[in-house]
Amino acid sequence: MRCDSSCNHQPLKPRNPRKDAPAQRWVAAALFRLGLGPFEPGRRAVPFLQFARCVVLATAGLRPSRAWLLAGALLVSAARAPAAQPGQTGPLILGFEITNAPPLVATPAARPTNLVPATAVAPPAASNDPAVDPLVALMISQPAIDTLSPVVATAEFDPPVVGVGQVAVYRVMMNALQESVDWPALPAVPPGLEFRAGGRGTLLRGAGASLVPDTTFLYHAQAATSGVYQVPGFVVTAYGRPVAVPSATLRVVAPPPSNAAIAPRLWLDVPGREFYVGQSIPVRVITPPGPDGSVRVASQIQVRGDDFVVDRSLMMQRVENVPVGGRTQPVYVYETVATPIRSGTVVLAAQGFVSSPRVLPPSATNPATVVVSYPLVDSEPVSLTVRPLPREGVPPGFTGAIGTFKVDPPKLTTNRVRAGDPVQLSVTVRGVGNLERLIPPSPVASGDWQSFPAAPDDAQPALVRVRGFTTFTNTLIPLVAGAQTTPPIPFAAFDPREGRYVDLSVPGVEIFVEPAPPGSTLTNAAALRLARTNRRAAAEAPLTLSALATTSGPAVGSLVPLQQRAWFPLFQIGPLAALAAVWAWARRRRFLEENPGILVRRRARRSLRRHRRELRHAAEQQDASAFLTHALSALREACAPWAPADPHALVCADILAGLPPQAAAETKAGLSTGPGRGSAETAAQATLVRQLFTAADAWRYGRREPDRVALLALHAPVDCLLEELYQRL
Amino acid sequence: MKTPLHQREQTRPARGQGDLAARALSCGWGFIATALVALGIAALKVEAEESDTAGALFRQGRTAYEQAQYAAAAALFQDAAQREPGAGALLNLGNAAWQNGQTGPAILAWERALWIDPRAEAARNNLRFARQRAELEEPRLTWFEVCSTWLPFNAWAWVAGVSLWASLALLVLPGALRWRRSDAQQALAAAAVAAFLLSLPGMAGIHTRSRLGFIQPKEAALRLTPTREAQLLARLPAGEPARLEVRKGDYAYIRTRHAAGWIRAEEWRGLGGVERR
Repeated sequence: MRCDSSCNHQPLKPRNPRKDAPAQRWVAAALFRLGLGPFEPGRRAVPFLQFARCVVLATAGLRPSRAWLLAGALLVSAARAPAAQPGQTGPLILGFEITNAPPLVATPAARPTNLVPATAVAPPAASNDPAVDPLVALMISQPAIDTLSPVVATAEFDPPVVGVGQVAVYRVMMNALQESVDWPALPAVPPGLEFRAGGRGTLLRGAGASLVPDTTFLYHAQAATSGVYQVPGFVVTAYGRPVAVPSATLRVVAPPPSNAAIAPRLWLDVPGREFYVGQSIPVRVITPPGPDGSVRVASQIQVRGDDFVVDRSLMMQRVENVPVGGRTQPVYVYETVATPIRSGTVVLAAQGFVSSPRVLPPSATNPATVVVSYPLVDSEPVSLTVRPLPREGVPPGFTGAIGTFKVDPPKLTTNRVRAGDPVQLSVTVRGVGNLERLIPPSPVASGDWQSFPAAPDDAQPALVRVRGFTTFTNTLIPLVAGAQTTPPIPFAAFDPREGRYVDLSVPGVEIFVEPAPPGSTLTNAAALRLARTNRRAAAEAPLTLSALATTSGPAVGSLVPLQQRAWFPLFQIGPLAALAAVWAWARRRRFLEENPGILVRRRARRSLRRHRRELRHAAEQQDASAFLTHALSALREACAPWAPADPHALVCADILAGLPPQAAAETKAGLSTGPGRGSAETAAQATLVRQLFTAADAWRYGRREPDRVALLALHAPVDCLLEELYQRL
Repeated sequence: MKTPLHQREQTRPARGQGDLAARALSCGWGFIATALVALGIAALKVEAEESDTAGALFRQGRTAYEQAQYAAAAALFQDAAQREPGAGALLNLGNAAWQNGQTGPAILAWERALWIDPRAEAARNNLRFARQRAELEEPRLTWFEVCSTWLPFNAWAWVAGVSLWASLALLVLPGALRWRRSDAQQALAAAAVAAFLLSLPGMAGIHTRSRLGFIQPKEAALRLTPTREAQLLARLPAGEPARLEVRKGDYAYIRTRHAAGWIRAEEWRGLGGVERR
């Protein structure tokens, strides 16, 4: 209730927090804007912004007490992961996908049509769902791979008889997938026989309704002395089951047999032995012709080795005439491009499944037939020396182009354009090198031009390599009018033949820019230019080690975060205790305000004690006036709470009325021990009080000093009376 | 029955004796206060001496670095950083370690410099430079760990603590002290609540990021079990980021982006000085 000027009591209107808290909304809006201002709207800041918005909305327009509950509920709901979405590979936290596993990427290689990829896996059950992906449907339509049949291994030397120093191929074949075979690093090799690991791979052959995997492991054996060398049998594990590999025997004779077969090998042709990191190396894998001169086709050709990558999109295959054994013969050639990614010595080797037809002689029931097998054949390894590109003197505009190139004069789509309109600048690079993977350079940042990243050549990499040139197009927008030139395009390539960087920068082309049409604006052009310039300058600046700091900078006592130290939770007890104390004090104050008598009596007790001390002191000092003064003050203080009145306003009658009613109460209740005891005591107390007041009045108004002896003799009864009054308080 | 007041009054010491007792009591409190002040001064003095020593080591380290004595400079900066961990000392320690061919300690020192002072652009650039040269990956941070990088590592605890108690005070004190509720109080209370809630992701990020560390030696062996002869799972390069999950004796179970396993505890060092605990 509140009282207005006319003392009409009116009920208070309930407060509307939304209406009464404009400042709160202002703070909330400021926080909201702050959350959007300095933070980059990048991927990682988005979850925090979402959380911050929830918090701000929760506290805006609400009382803080409600804000706690609502913000807590929002926090819980924000942290809960939503339902999985199609294509999601990991849990979503606040819209941010967490995934640990890299996605599987299928890279089918080009191979003859009568063979299937070796990496095919057992297909899932066919589905009649019309929404099934065509690729999945294709996979489903493939025949199953037989992994249930017993695994049988064979081992042989090819050829079984060689001369001293000649190479024979130790070949182990088994009908199991290569990935399922736990193959040892090297089989047990008899002494005197040198073994070197060769290729290994799996070929799938059709057998009825399923595909049977044929895995081959190759080693190259060579002996320096003649003799019979036997590689003992051993046990490997395939599909978790033991598989016995039989023994194989090699006869090494001297001199070598005249009609001895030669171990089949592929020929690996690499132009040169010294290259640079990142340089495209054309690699040719040649399949030798058969004994009868026929062309043998190799399938699933792989160029193996560490520290280089093979670009399968640049694969080409053809039959061409090459000199073999002194005469030109047609052979099957597989060509691809390998790129070394590490400096040092890089070893390349090729392998493939070569068709090997055999004519079976006719039998009584069957005519002569031709059986084609596909044994795994590999090549001699080739060691290459790869050098790193020089780090010093790298010119601007070098984007990784390695080769011998030249740049045609640039071409503009038009040499007259209006400010704000785009124009295309085409640059053609010709030569031999990694043209197909050329990263187009960017024009120099200019305040008068807005440039966009160059669009690369959309032709297939194989076509680019064959035709020998590539073209990239820059889109430029002039921002100011007048005659000018397009921004130059810094471009450089590393020529491996010369072993140095070659500057191939594209100069600017003259163009006339007409003013923009009236009414159009190039908004924020200056800001765009500045921002673009700064970004490019920062992106192109090479990273270097910074200089030393001149001062120790902001220091801390420990690197352990505050919240992880043992004393931190205890430190929170202080403010908690302070707030609790304030709250308890407020409660106590409210209680005392609702019970004012408590304070009044407490004050009276304190004053009474003080006056009694002074009374005693006056009695000891034989100071009658002080005795009288303090006695009366003590009586007034003791009786004031019952008046109620200010102690100084009480007179003798008030004191007499405030004397303890104990005796009267005992008489009334029949507890009095004697007929005259209670009333006599009360009367004595009343007489005592009258004596004191009389003496005080006489002294004050009559100017008569009190009888010191008589007065001081009243100390004991006065003290008893005061004690009784104190107990009543 | 209560003792009559006059008897109680008689048992109380006389005025002179009471004064002495009060004086003795006040002297006792004064002694305690003096002792506390003396302890504080002594602590400050020790800290000042440590600071002076750290400053001297810092200057000696700079001199050694300028004379291309990188190993000695690294040792001096390491000593200075242990006495008084500062962003500048850690930056210089990282530079000296890098020049001395110690990639792991260099990256750890620069990361710790950013841990103390996120605005240390020199440390950030050095980390980019070193990771580019050594072909190392950056540690993957969750969104709340990214938030925690915006302020020094102790700032979040202060923000959370101050905002929490400020908001509680603004809730309790106006009612207790009978202040007139104003819009400004409401706004401040809301702002304090919001600040506390917004600091929670940072606090969480600091807590999880404190267990992020880096491999120190060049080819640290990651093993299947915490034994010396355990199967080797991988060899981790110096400077590779890894998170500590569990410690057991001399070994620690860490998780990198591509592998997880046991490693010798001294081969991994954490951002938050976890290895000392």
